[in-house]
Amino acid sequence: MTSNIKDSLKGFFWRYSDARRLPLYQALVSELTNIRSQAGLVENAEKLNSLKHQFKGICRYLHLELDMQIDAMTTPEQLLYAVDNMHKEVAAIEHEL
Amino acid sequence: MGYKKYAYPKTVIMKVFSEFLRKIRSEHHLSQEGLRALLNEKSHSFDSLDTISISRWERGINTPSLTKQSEIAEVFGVDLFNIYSSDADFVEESLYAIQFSAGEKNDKVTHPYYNNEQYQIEFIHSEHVKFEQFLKLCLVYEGNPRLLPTHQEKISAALLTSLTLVSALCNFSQLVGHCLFCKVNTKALFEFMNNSIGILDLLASTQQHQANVLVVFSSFGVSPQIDNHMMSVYLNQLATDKTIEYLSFSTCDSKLKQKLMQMKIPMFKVKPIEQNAKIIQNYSFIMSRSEVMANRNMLMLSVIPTRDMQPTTTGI
Amino acid sequence: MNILIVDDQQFVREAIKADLAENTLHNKVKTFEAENAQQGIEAIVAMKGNIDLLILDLKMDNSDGMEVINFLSVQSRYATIPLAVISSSDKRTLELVNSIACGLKLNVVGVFEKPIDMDTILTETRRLQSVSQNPLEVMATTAVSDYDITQLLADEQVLLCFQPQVDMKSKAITGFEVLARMYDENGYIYPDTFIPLIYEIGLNAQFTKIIIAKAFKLWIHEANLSGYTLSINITAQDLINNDLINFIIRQKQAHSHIKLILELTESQEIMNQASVLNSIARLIINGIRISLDDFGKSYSTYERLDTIPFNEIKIDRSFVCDIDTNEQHRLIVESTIALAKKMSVNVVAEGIETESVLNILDDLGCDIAQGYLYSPPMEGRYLNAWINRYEHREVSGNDK
Repeated sequence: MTSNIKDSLKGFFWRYSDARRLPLYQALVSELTNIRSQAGLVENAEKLNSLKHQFKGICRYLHLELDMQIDAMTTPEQLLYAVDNMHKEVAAIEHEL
Repeated sequence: MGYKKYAYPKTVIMKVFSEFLRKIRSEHHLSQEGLRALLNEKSHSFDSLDTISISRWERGINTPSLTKQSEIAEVFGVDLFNIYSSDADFVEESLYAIQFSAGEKNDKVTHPYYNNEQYQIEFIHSEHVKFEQFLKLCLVYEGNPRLLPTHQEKISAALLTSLTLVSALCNFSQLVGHCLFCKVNTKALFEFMNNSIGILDLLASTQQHQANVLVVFSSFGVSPQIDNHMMSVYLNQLATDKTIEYLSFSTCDSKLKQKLMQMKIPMFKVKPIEQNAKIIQNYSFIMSRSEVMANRNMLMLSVIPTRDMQPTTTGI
Repeated sequence: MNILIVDDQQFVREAIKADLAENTLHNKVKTFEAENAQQGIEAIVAMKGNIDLLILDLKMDNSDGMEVINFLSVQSRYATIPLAVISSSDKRTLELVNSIACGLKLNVVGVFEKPIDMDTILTETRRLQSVSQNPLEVMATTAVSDYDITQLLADEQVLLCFQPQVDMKSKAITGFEVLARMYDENGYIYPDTFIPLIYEIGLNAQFTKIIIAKAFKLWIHEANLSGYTLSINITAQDLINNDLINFIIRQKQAHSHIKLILELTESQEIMNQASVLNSIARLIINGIRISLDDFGKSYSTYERLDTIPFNEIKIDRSFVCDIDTNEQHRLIVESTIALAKKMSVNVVAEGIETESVLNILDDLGCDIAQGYLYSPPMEGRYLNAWINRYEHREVSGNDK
């Protein structure tokens, strides 16, 4: 799964010209950071669902087919884990951009 | 600009017809009563006609519908196109309605590639170097799978000569409008509409049968003005070629369909075409010459000779 | 081109902007952003609706796209803004939103699943634009309900068109069906538009009277037409109007040489009324033939077979026009013709457009053919010229 995410990330960023890549990258990082910090404070199911939906939107854009996995999440910890994982992958490709 | 925006169609139509009536009556040495009797004798549409009405028509107080005008004109061996296209005021008003009404409604430029720049109308003949390229572009726009022959079929250049492709270009290369049409025989056209023959057979049929219908496959402009302008090209062709009895459309473009329905043209048939597991609707329309001429919008478009349409400049 | 993006996720907005930059050749696109419904609405108002494309996320944190959709629908000046709804919700939700937005008469470009394909959206937007500002609307096109049918009828703005009927075997012209048109200063008006209006205001009998009177005048005036049958549509509704029945009978008595056929269309609920059957009997006694129109369109026609002494069955065009490719339609037509043969009545097939359909009907034993293969409906003044050309084999259909 890890290499899968990395490939998708690269595939996504390479579609755009150099000038576009950095703002996109920064937006993605800040979006993930945001979801991560909120996931730590989830107090009800509704909030969790909203964060899941946000994460799903991002994954769709990255052409990552994680809909099923995201739908199956029932606790903030699961979401936190997935977001963290993604965050690491994103950080790992920064030097390649 | 000197034009009365809302007054135009009725007043000018009234003026043109009243002039025609007075002229035709004096040429045939008819009194108003003589004209009434003649029309009465020729058609039952004029059973209740009286000289008071004729007098009102002549003085431009009132005017009969285009449908009735058409019948009267035919009694004297002319058609509405002859009458209206030879009236400079009417042609000018038609041009005006097409060119500027859109701008008045909405000043902003809304097309990503087109900015109300000048554009040029060009007939692209089949020997033209860019014919194939433009044909491909308009077929892609139209998205009608029936117009795309399969790869195995060899298309002879002779077949393509019967197609007329007209393009609107801005900056000499950017395509901002097009229309694609052909004159064929109704018998072959109905076979085509019913999927009994393909596009190549339809084009080939022009070599055996006398053409009596102009069929439009695609018609589009990025701005309403160009869209109307494209329509005027083939309507003018129809109007000037008296051997053509019918106007027909065979299209998959739902926007063109919508526009025709807006112009009150009844749809003849819808046939679903399956392509790559997707269903595409093919819409057909057919109307007679007399229906075209009695349709005010179409009559106005038909009187505009293609060469007279001047490209507009930005900022009108 | 002004594009407003309403999405709560900065990353999604950035991605859309990047896509726009890649997809538009010129630098003419100006993008505006809003991160929730309220901001979006404020932006629309601030921009005075001067927006060429509104990209709207359906589900946002703390608000949702439906707020914006509802706002657009109540503010008519904004309803024309091209709207593309984007979402990562499931397909069923997307379809629902699409039908809601269309129902609200918004200018919907489409509802798209994330990630969106900007190229598709831009292409769709362009196509929509080409018609949405149609200048022909400025030329005052009339809405259906705007027709003043009462006035048009009073002025007898009615025109008769005719479609020929041809004997299958001999290829000789047997008659013509009358197809009515109305007209105003904009052009022809067709039956599917005016017939419902006429029935709504209860002027159907008056309308049928006008048609019959006009058709008779033509048949009387043009002596060479009198050999041909004259088929005119009539409804069960018309049959309960005694005045109309008397008028028809008087016309027929005064011009007994005219071969009048009344084509009776469906209207199940009043068909069995005694007065209707009484009218039919009176018409038949006076030498007027009855044809069952649109045969096959409903089951009730079969129930009627033993109550009405009709002379002819007309098979509806929707079955006829594709019997060469539609097996089910061919079976229906085949059994209808067989039924007519058993009852010794004529069968007319409408909607014949191609020779292959004609040949199948000929094999099945159909008697009379009608359709665009011979001629589209034509105005009465062109009838004689057409007959002449047909007899000299200058028009299609007569290639014996």
